[in-house]
Amino acid sequence: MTKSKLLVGVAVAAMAALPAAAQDYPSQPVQLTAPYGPGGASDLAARNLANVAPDFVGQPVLVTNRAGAGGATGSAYVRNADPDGYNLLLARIGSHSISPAIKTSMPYKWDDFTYLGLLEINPAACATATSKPYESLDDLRDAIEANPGAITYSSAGVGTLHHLGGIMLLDVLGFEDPTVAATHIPFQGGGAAAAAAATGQVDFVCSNISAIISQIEGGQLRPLVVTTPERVDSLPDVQTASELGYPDLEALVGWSGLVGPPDMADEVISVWTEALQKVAEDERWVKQTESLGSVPMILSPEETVEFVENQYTTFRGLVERLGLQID
Amino acid sequence: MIENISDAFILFLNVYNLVALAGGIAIGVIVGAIPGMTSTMAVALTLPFTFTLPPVTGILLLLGVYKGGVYGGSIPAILVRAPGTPAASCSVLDGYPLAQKGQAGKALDMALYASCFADLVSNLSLILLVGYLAALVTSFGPPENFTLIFFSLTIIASVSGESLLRGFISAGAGLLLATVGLDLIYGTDRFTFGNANLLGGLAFIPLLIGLFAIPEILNGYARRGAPEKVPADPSGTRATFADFRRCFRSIFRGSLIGVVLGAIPGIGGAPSAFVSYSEAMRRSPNRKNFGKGELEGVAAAEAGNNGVAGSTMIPLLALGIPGDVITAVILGAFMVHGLRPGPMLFEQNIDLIYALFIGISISSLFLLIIGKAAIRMFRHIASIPMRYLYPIVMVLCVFGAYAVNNSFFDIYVMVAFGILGFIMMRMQVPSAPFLIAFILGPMLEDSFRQSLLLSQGSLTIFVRSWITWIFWTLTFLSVALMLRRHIIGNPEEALPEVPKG
Amino acid sequence: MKIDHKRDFLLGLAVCALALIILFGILPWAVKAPKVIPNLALSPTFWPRIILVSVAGLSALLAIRAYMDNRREMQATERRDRNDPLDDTPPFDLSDLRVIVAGLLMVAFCALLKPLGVVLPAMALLIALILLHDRKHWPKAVILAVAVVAGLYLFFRFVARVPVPLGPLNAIF
Repeated sequence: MTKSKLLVGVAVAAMAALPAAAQDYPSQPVQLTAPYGPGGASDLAARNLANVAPDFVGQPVLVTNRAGAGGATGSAYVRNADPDGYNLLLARIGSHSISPAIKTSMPYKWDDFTYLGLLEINPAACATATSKPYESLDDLRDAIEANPGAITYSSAGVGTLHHLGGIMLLDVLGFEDPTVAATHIPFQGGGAAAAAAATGQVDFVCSNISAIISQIEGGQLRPLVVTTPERVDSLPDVQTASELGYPDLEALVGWSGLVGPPDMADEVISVWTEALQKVAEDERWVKQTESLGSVPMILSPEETVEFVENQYTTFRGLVERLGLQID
Repeated sequence: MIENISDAFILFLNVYNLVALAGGIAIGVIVGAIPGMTSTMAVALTLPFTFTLPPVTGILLLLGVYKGGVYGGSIPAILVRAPGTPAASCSVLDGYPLAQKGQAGKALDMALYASCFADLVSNLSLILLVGYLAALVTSFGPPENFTLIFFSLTIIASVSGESLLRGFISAGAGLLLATVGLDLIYGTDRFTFGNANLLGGLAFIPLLIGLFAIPEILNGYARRGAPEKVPADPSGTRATFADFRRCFRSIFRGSLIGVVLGAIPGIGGAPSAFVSYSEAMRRSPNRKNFGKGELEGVAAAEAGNNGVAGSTMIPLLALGIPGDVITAVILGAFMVHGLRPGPMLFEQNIDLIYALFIGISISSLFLLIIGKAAIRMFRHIASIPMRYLYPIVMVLCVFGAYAVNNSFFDIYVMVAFGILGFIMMRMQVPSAPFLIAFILGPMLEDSFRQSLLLSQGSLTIFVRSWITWIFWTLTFLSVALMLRRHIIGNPEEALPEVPKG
Repeated sequence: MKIDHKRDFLLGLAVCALALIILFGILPWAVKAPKVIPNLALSPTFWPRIILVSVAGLSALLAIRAYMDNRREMQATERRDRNDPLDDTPPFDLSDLRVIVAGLLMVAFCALLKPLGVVLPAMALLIALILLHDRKHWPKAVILAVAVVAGLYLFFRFVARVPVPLGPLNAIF
């Protein structure tokens, strides 16, 4: 297991000369694009923010869904929008660190955006159906070794947390080539991926915990590991990756962030950094974020860039090492 | 048990719940009636308002919006050939011809009765059979889905009109266009031509509106010289109890088809409507009249698409699995209130479940009352002169198509498919097979490839369970019947035109 | 040739040609597949190929059948009046001029969306489409256009919370 964290200097988006109107920002409603369909975690995170943010920025925040291609369609739209601060994007781990790391022909790069702040993180876990015989990661490894390629895992599509999660798990378990050790079976969306695992159609799934918690509590899924540094409150009995000796798995953590098109004016950025600090203290927002199974975590723009860059670099290293790249 | 139910009544019986349910249905009917605004979007828009409501009230509001939306889609489908929701596209096939004959009122009435009845059947199935149907859900994997979709594709034959060949070509075009976008299995580009808008594939709703509504708008300009045809006042035509009784078998069958297909994650209302329609056609003595304004066709289509409205909740409540986007939004509403649907909910919050069930079971009645009022309001649309109505519908479609993804690209797609649809109409290529293929194509391909991945390339996975055998048998019977009717039974039907004299 | 047969014949030929062009000319570069695939049927190109081959075959069949039917009927009618006046209406004729204008209006509308937003072009389209039906009622058309589009805008903006682009009107509101 090689640590693939390359440290690169913190990249900060270059700032263009500010437009005259930046001082009165915002003077009209802000459009917040959720790059996934309604009802998903990204949509809920966006709507949650849109619920409270108007109190702190003084204008309505309108959530619009632009779904497609694992978040790429919506992200590309905001990437090319005017950087006037009226077009923002709810960035996710899939659209901003995994897909850009895996797919070379993405219509944007992870650092093409002005990062305004991180909103929340979504702890992840790997789980198997309770109808399957795997009681631990060791059982799973033995099964894979006994029958290479026959063990399957579901995902919400190529370039999603589920997809990379499966590969990372196989990687830390010591398999030379995770793409042949077990078979990746993509489904349309996280709900279908979780369902395939819960009903035993596939052997395991790595997912954000909020998407599989009801199946875990309902006794259909058996969690094998959580990827957070500390144990998760809702799953106190499940061992962490570090406890099991796989600290590299900790890079697998979902997140939502607020970003905008490149070259946004400083004035506009500071409106949002200040607003997000207040959002962090807003009880309604904290309560709703937690009830959806996420951990509220507001970071400054610089910290956010560093966080995403770290994750991107780790994933990119993994992709290069294993040859997962898609043209 | 008794205690739970009485607790549930206390939980349910407050005026807010009734208002939420009725209000939700009313919102749903109106939003569903706008082409482009689907019931999914209506539910997602309502979701933030439920954050502050008590759980039962909030979820009943969402369910009301959902049920209203599923029905509401049929109104513009019948009146102006612009299906408000994808699931309503099947109601166009006979609903619009009926409206053209001046029987819009009759079609609207029948759509409502069929919808309410199917909704009731679906709700009762949810309440009474949740455990049994949940077991069915867990036995559906990719191979079972593949055989089910494969069977569903045989309905293309029944909606192809006179020429099977033209229908198949139309379906082929639909299948091909459905492959545009990122490949699900490998994430590579297919026919995207470097355009970021195409990465996610062609959006379904603009395509649907384009294919159905715009050709009709364009065709309105071709009737030069002919006196402007104002549809007869629809208030004169009503569906009678005799009509309902005549269509009852199809409605009941459609409801059951809806219940089963609704309970299977990922299938949804549109395939169910088409399967129900095709079954009704297959068994009807008036088979030849289908597609030309057969009331039973409207009834079957609407029964099929509303039959899913209750049973989609089965995977969610029983297993915590959202079967489609709408139940995913409803799952969000549960979670916002700290509730996790699944077996635990039945143990810990049984009073809440019963309260929901009580609400759900009266929703069909509310739908009937509100739907009646909506018909009274909307049927005046049929008497607006065509020269104003069609341009207004066009602009309405533009707004609706834009709202799907907030994207101009979807408006371009709508107009492009409108023009294509007009050419197809003139070349007598039916558009319904195109649409069905476009909906079912990705499901067919995905489940096929997922199955092969699961089996490591072995084809035996497609006969792995009794469910697959059932669907293979149904497919075989359906194809055999089709061949008999088209080739052996009526040889003249195989020819496009019988030579005159 | 009888109109019906001519239509099917041309339709079959055109679709077949198109399918073959896509199959051999476009698909190889527009559909990308990974280098290593465990199974031919799993390739991203497998499905589009199958569909294109079937469509090409079916449309060729349609063309051939139309041709054969036509020959058979021609022979059958030869003994009778050969220049039997065709009572079928062709798929397209000159009376479709207004349809073409309406189609062009829609295309022009699409072209205006980027510079002008949705609201103004939608009003113009509505007016133009009404006038294309009936040129007498232009004041009614203008009033209707403004009212309908404004109503839709307000509904989408405040009820559905979809900010439909106002274009230059943005400066006013």
